[in-house]
Amino acid sequence: MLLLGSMVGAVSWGIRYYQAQRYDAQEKALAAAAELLHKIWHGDLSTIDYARKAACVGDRRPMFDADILQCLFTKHPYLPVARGKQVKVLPNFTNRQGQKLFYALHTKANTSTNFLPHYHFILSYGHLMDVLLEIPRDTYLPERIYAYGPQGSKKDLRLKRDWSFDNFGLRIFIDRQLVSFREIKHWVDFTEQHPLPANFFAQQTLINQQAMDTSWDYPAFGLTPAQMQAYCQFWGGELLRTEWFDAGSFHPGDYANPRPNFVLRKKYPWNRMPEKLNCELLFSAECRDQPYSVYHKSALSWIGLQQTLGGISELMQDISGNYVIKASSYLLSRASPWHELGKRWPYDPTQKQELGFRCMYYE
Amino acid sequence: MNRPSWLLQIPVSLPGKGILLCSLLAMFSLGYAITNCLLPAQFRLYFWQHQMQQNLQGITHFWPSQSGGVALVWTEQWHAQSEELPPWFLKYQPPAERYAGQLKFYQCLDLDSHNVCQKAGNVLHLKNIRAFSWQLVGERERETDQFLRSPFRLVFKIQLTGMIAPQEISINLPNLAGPRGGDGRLAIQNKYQRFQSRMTQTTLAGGHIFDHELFKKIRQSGMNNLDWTEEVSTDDHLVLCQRVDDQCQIIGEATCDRCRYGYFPVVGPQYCPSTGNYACGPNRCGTANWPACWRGFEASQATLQDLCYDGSTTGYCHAGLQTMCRDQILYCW
Repeated sequence: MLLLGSMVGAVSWGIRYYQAQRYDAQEKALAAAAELLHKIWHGDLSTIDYARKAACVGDRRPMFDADILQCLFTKHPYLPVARGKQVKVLPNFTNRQGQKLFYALHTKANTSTNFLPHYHFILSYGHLMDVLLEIPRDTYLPERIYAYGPQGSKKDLRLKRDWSFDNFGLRIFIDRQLVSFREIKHWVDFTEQHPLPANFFAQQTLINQQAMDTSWDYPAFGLTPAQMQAYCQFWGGELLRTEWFDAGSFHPGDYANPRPNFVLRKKYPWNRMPEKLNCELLFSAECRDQPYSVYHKSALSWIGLQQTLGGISELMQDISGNYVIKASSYLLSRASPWHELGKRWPYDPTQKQELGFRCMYYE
Repeated sequence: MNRPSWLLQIPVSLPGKGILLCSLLAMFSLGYAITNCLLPAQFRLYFWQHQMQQNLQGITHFWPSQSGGVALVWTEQWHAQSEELPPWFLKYQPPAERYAGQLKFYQCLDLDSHNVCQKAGNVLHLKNIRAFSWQLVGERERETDQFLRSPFRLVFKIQLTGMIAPQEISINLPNLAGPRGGDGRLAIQNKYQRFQSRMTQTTLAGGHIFDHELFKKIRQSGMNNLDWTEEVSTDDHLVLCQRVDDQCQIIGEATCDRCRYGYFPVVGPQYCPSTGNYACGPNRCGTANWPACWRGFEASQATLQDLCYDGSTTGYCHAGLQTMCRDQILYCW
């Protein structure tokens, strides 16, 4: 009996030892794969094979790019981890064209929490693992008193005729950049509403005639205001309103004081109009023979908004309920007085022009 | 401050309905029955000074946040709401010579005046802990080399009976700013700063390890849907997902996280500095028969007691419309 008991005990211990080792190895492999996926997502492409990288990355900006991962995993749906082990990436979603996508989106359409990162991958190695990857696409608008539109005359200033507003008690976030064609493509892949024209992604920007297939990060244009609203609602937001654009683009001067007696608004998001032509700050008509980039560190507004002047124009909704467009754009020469913050034109749906947009969110 | 050293208690609060699929418990499970595998997405951890001093001295390593960690979320909005919500507790008893350790994660449904839980709803109770330790891990201040500073992580090492090696689980605490304050609590970074994004502030780092059964449930709930959100305001029916009373307390349950098209602030009868009234989108504020758009309390120079009245300037309407108070919400008419 003693011998039998010892044998049973030994076998039981052996099984438990084997199981524990197996679980341990699986979890270590999954954790390593998740870490690798994070690195790739954040632009560390040194971690992946060069040939695969070259075939998928091209000259795109390799940051937060689900398309790059889609390309990589389509060719080789594995993430290499230590000691020759490979963790499989599972197809996650089938889009409208029947294409298997290795990522899924978390939006207000499919999740009840506001705090989940947007992109979702599934790794498999014994246990399953969901990896959530985030895009810090928006920026926080600090709580303070703001004022609407361009600065008035000295008399207006003296009489405090500003139309002021504030966001005390509110947490408002604004997209840092105009919504890109890539983001619209992901939206289209995940929704069957608001079908776009067949040639939507083949449009050529008039800025410098670059082909769109190398310009997925360009601001998307060619959408109707309703489609823009639908896109923003897809992410739980809404089309940016003019007062909040003004709040995020006019430099407030002393931003340590959230309750100024009157709100000064400078004409430009930076200190003054640069004396020399600077297409990074303001992409005007004179810049159209140069590459158009949507991101320049020096062109940020005080809260980090890009493209607040110049470049592709932007559609917003004003406080009267009308759609308006930011006047400053690449269509105007640098000497134009319309290259100032707060100056807007009425939106005319019959006039064909490239209009970008961005979203805002209440949290 | 007066808790016995053998039983460390970390009060944790639930932020509303934000429920996160848990990796933590799935990692714990390893063949043990866990009936309810849900963790709140956001909860609060208090550390008492004497515990910190005990535990900060023993830090020997940092655990990378990407390796299966779960980030905890902290927002000012939740902070205000959470005061009225039943707190969560993480309580553990280290194993001793004669008994196994145990860890209990539970929601306290009823607290007495001394913050002692009178009635609890269990989420997780692990009894067969053979080895257990936890550490608060952060970065050292370069100047003093004495205090830790953010980002903080809470690292558990747990070895259940039958496991060969301990499992390490790391919880990111992005909301903790550093040790300060007379009461010895870690300061809470609960305000967004300029240039911060929702996602950088509230991101969930790393992956979530699921067992197959749990994963099957998730997949069955829809096409990758963790949860459907269906609350939508229409022309005929405005869905108010959060209302506050005259004491700025939330009335009933806040359901804004179920709004299909997000939510937006509406002007109610009074100003509340850190909470307020919200309606589900789509946001058509300012149009006829819809709530007025938010203009703000201070900019409109309204009085604290009365924001909702006909002609109030705390909200604004589109051209040709006037604000009008109806059902204690400022509408446009």
